[in-house]
Amino acid sequence: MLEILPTPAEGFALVTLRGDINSASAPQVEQAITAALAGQNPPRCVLDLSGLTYTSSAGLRVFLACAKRIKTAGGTFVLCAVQPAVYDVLDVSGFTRILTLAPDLAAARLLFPS
Amino acid sequence: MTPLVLPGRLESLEQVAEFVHAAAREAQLTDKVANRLQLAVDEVATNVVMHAYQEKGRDGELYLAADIDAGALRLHVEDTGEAYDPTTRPDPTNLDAPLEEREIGGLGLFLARRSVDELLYSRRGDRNRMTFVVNRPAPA
Repeated sequence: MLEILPTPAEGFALVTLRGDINSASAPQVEQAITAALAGQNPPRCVLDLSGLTYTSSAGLRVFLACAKRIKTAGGTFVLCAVQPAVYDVLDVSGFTRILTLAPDLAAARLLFPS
Repeated sequence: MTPLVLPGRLESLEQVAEFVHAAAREAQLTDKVANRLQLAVDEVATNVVMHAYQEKGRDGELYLAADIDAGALRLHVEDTGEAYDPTTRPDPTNLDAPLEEREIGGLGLFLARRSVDELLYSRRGDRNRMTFVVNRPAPA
């Protein structure tokens, strides 16, 4: 089960993910991020992963695609509060070296000075 | 464990995960080991659905079974796609590349392989069989 909560935030798009990402649910994540970024220039997005307990490579594929797209547009993409099982998958795939991670939402906010 | 047959579609992945966790509980694996097994099976089942069935315009099923003995849990996933041994595919070589150079995809089998103790392929009649072996902890 995956739950996606677009959450109000100031100065950036915040998308909260809860549950599991597999190849059946990953397209919803990409759509939610795209929708949250509508009208933002440059694009700024934080994914709150405090409730995400599992992802397969389908989730990594979405994170990478969004990170590339946002970087190309001169924006910022941050994953925050990554839980151990998800961190392990990101780390072994080399993604902890190429994505911006923040320990929690408060730390992620600091990356967007108003 | 009673074997389970599911439609070879992405919507079946949640039931695949439930089967994996039920087998892991029966084998008394830790949550961490069970989650890694879930990842391995999820990746392989996804590849079967997408590459053996959907891309080829074929319908088919996912056949799940599990054997537990004193030493290990062996979980089997079978499909009726064309003969294909994914264990011969090399690991990705660009894991240290910067963001701009990372290619999207290609990680599934790499993650599957490193998430279990052994990943075995066999061809049995008209089916491919992938076997995921997870060693059980020695009794205290």
